[in-house]
Amino acid sequence: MLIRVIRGKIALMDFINEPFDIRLLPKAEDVPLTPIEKAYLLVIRIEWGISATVLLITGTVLIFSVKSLQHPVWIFSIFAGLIALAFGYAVVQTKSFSQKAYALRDKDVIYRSGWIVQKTHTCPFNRIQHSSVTTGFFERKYGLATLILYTAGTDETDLQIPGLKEADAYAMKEWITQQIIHEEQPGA
Amino acid sequence: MKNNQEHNWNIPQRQASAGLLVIVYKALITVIKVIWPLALVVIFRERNKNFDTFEMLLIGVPAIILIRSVIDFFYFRFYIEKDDLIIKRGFLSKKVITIPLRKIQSVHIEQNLVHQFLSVAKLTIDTAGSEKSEAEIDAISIYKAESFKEFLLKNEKIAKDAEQSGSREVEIPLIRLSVRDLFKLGLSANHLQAFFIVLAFGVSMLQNLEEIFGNRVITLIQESSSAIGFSIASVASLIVFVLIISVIVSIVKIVLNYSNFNCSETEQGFRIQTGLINIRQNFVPFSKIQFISWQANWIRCKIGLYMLEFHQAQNEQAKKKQRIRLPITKREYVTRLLEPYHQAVKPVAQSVHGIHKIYPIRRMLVTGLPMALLMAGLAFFWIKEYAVLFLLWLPYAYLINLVYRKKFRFYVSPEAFQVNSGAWGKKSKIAQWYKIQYVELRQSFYQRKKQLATLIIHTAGGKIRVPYIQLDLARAIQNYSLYKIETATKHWM
Repeated sequence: MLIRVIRGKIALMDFINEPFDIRLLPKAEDVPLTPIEKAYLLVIRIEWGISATVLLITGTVLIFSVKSLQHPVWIFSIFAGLIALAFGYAVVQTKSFSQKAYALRDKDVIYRSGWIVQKTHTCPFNRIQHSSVTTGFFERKYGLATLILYTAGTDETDLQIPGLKEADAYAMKEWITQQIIHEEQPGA
Repeated sequence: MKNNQEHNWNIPQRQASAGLLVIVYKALITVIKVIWPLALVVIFRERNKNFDTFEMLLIGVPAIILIRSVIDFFYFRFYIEKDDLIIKRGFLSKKVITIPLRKIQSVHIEQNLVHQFLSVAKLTIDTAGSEKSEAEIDAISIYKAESFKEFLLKNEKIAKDAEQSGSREVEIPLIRLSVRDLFKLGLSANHLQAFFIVLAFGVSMLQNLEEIFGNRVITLIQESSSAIGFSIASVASLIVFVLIISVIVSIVKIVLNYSNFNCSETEQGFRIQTGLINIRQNFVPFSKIQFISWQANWIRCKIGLYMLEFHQAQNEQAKKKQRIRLPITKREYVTRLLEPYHQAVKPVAQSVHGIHKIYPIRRMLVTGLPMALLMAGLAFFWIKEYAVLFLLWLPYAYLINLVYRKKFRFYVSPEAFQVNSGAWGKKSKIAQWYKIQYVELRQSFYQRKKQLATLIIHTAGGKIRVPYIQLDLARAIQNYSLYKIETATKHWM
C-alpha cells in the first residue's frame, strides 16, 4: 500500500496526466471562415473569357479546315457543345468561388474550397516547410495575390489560397513564417 | 577487408576508374534500346553497295553517345564543401548539384552484374521534399561507397543527436527467405499483372516487326490464325498457354527481386538487402518511417503471406524506384517489424469505426454505373445486343463494395490509428498521429445532405483515406489529429 502511494506521488510529480476529454478539444468546424476577396471573381471571369474565346476560335478553325465537318448538324453540335462546356464551367467556377474561404488559428490554417466536392484542408504550422506568394497578371491588376503553403505531404497540390489582398497575403506569409520558427525550436 | 582507411571527402573525386566500363555498358544499353529496330532494317533489307546515310546514322549516333558518356565520365566530380555535397558533371552543358547534408534522407547502394564483376557500386542519394535534384554516382568502388554512405548518414546523425555518434551498430537478423518461400511467393503473385506485361511485350514486338517488314507479318499472322479458326479448343489452349507464361514470368520476377532477401534490425533502422542479379541495399531509418502498411491478395490471404511496406518521406519519383516490399511469411514478423514504430492498434483500440451503410449503393451509382454504361456503349459496336452483359458490372460493383464496407475498420488509440480494408484481399495501415502532415475533409452534395464525409489523412509517405463516415466522427478525428500534431514534441522525421 505504502509503496504504491509513494510511487503514485512520484509519478504525479514527474508528469501530469489529467483525464482527457475528447469533446473539450478545440473544434476546427466552429471557426468562422473569411471568404476571399470579391474582386477575385472578376479575375476568374476574365480568365474564363479568354479560355472560352480560345475554345470558340479553335472550334471555328476546325470547322473551316476540315471539309467533312462543314455540315449544319456538325456545326450546330460543335458550337452547342463548346458553349455548354464554357457556361457549365462558368457556373462551377462561380459556385466554387463562393465556397473559397480561410481562417488562421494559433497553430494552423484552415482552407475550404470546392462546390461539387467541398474540401476543407487544415494544415498545422509545424508541418509547413515553406511558403510563397504569387501574383498572376490579372491578379496584379486588382491588387490580389495567392498564398502557397508547402508541406511534405505527397500530393502535388500544396495548399493554395487565391484571391487575397496582396498586403494580406504577405502579412499572412510573414506571420506563418514567424509561427514556423517559433514552432521549430522545441522540436528540433 | 581494407575498409578502414579514412577518405578525405573534401577533395574533388572522380568515379572509380573501373567504372569507365560501367559507363560504357550503360551507354551501350541505351544505344541498343534506341537503335535495334534500325539495325534490323539494315540487316534485312536488300544489299546496297554504297555506304548510305542510314548506315552512317547507325554508326554515328552510338559513337556520339559513347564518346559523350566517356567525356562526361572524366568531367564528373563529387566532394564535400562545408555542409554540402557537391556534384559537378557535364562537359558541354555543365551542371552543379548542391545538396545540403542535413537534407539527405537516405543513401542507396545498388549493384548490377557489371558492378559486381568490377566490385563497384552505384550510389543514389535521396533528398526530402519535392525537389527533383536527384543525385547519382554511377560507379564508385564498393569500399568507398560503404564508407561514403556511412559518412553522409553519420553527418546527419551528428546534426540530430550528437551523443550517439560513436556507438558501434549491432545487427539483429530478422527475415530470410527459403527457396520454398520464394516459390510460394511466385505462385501466389498477381498473375494478372504478369499477364499484362507479357501482352504489352507481345504487342510492342509486333509493332516493331510491322514497322520493319510492313504488312507482311500481319497478313502472315492473320492467315495462320484464320487457318486455326476460333474453335473452343484453340481458345482454351491459348488461355492455358498465356496462364503458364504469366505464372513463369511472375516466378522469374519474384526470384530476380527476392533471392538473397535479408532484413535485419540495427539501432537506427532496418537494413534490407535483396536481389539475384541487381542487388539492392536499402536502409530504412526508424525516424523516417511515416506509416506502415501490409497487404495480401486473395490467395496470399489464404496461405498467410503478406507484403509489408515502410512508407518513408521521399519524393514520388524516388519512391517508385527504391520501393522495397518485405515478404512476410510468418505472422510474428509483422509484430516484430511494427515494434520500433507502434504496435498493432487493433488489439489495443479504444474505439472502432466502420463506414456508412449507404456506401455500396453510392459507389455503384457514382463509379460503377458510368463505367458499366461506357463499356456497354463501346461494346455495342462490336458484339451488338450482347453488350447488355456488361451491365452485370453493376451487381458486381455493388457486391464488391458491400464486402469492402463489411471489412473496413478504423481503429483508434491515443498514439496511433489503424485502417483495415480490402474486398478480395486484405490491407492494413498503421500511422502515428504526429506523423500526419495535414488533414482534408471532403463532402459531395450527397454527403453534405446526409451529414457524411470522406476523411483524407496526408502524411509525407502517402495518404490514407477513410470514406463515408459520419461528419461528427470525421471532425472528431480531424480535431484529435490536429491536437496531436500541434502538441507533438517529437519531430516527424
